[in-house]
Amino acid sequence: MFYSDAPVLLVSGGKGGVGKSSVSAGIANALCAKGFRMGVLDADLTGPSQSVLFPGEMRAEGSLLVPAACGNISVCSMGYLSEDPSALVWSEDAARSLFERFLFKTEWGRLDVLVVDLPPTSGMTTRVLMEFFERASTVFVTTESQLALADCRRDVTFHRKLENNAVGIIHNMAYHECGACGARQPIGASDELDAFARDAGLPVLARLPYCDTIADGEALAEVASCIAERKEFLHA
Amino acid sequence: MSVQRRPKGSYFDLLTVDGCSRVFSAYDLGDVLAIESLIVENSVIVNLLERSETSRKTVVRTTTGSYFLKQVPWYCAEPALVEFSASFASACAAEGLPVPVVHRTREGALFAEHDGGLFTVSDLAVGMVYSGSAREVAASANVLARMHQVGASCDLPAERPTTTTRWIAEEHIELARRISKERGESTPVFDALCGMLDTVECPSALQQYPVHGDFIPWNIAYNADGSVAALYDFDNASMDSRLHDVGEALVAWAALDFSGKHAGLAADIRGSIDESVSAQFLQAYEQVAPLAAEEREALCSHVLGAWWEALLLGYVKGEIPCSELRKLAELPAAVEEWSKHVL
Repeated sequence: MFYSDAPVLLVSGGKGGVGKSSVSAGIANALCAKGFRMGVLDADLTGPSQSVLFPGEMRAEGSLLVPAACGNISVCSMGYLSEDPSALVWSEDAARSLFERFLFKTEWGRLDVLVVDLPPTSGMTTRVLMEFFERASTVFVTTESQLALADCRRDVTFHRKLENNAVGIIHNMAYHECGACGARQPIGASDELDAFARDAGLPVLARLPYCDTIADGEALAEVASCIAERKEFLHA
Repeated sequence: MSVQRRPKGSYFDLLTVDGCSRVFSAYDLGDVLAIESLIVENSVIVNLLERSETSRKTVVRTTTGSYFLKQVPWYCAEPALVEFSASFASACAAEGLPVPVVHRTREGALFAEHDGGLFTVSDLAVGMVYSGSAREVAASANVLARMHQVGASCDLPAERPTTTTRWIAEEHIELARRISKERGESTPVFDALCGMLDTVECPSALQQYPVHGDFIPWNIAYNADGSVAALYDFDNASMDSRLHDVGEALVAWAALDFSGKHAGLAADIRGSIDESVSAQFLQAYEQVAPLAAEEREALCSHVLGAWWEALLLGYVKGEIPCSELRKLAELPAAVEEWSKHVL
């Protein structure tokens, strides 16, 4: 079954390196744990990460693609299809064809939610991708660095111009958790991020620790619960 | 054709619908609807963006079907050369060989000119990459032999490019020498190779054929049963001894180690030819088109020339370190040793 009208949750943020991919995978895992049939579309064509976070293999059946199967999560990423995606040059038209193939010529199975890991910058890729979705919701991942917040602010505006439903902000790398005693050491102050969230009229959905793998833990489980319970997030 | 360096400014973006539409306006193949860089056919995935080292290519979906659009590489983008290579490919397709049909423009040309570049449009043919099976080796040799048979009798344009193994070797030695100077690398091997050029000299009396010029596994797509689904890329076609193709094939199938990334070479040069694979290839070729006695005698020079060419190109592309090039001077002895056992 091709992607049809499963709710779409975009994970964005604007800045590179703030943890969009890690959070995307974490949300997919958390929702999967709640029994949702999940798909993850890695929309970062030149810097894909989902193939690293979800090791596997995409294959072809006839003229259809089959996503990598990672437990109950189906994943599509250029990372499975290229040895060096960073060397690929994508035009808008080529990206459009690829997304069309990923969404409508790929055997996704039945999905409850499609999580889309967006690339850095509010640019061509996201705009092209949105041609395929009637509606989508966006969570914004950011750290509290000035530069990340500035990009995130622009990204919120961009997604609102695209008429996506802005769900909230995930404060990533908010603290460091001591491996020995579990004590949480904040990484900087969160005043500016909170002020930005207030100005944008968005809730801070979660504050996540610094980690270099798939984001998980209680905080993201709460986000998943929030999404699961309030599916209007996804249907707005 | 020898591969010269990519000239700056030759870039043309084939990755836009507008750009492809302008090229397709010369053809009666319908309106362009979309372009695709990721091809999925017959359970095979082909990422064309990864195969654009020397020329840009894309699949173009139009109102009449899907076609393969390719920009002719800069080093052979001359009308007469393209007319020759595309005519040869068309003749092979017409004789039932697994070669995609090259389409003609409304005015009957086998290529279209646009924005300073030359473009060919052919049918889309997809298959699997070479997996190393014996059936694939034999099927490739069979197709090569049949291709030479077709070439010996087909009509081709009067203006025909010609090549010789010695000329190709010289061109690649000089290209690599220039690159080494630019890189500030020093090796006496180029002078040594120039001193050995007589070993790649081929008797001029050998029968001339249209040759493919780049007959390597990466220009062939295979079916699941090991048969050849498609032979691509006639850009380097010329008139030469058919040993040009046979020698290159023997080197590609039996003497090179690849890095695993397309046709990229492994950094370490192997100085021997796999006798089993090369014997298998030759046997399958000669079952269709036996070599004449004088051709068998001259085969070593073509194998050596092709080996040098491949490795020098590997150096130019940055796959092989300069320190490995000294081994090129040892290859004549390796070819001679191989010939004692296989020829």
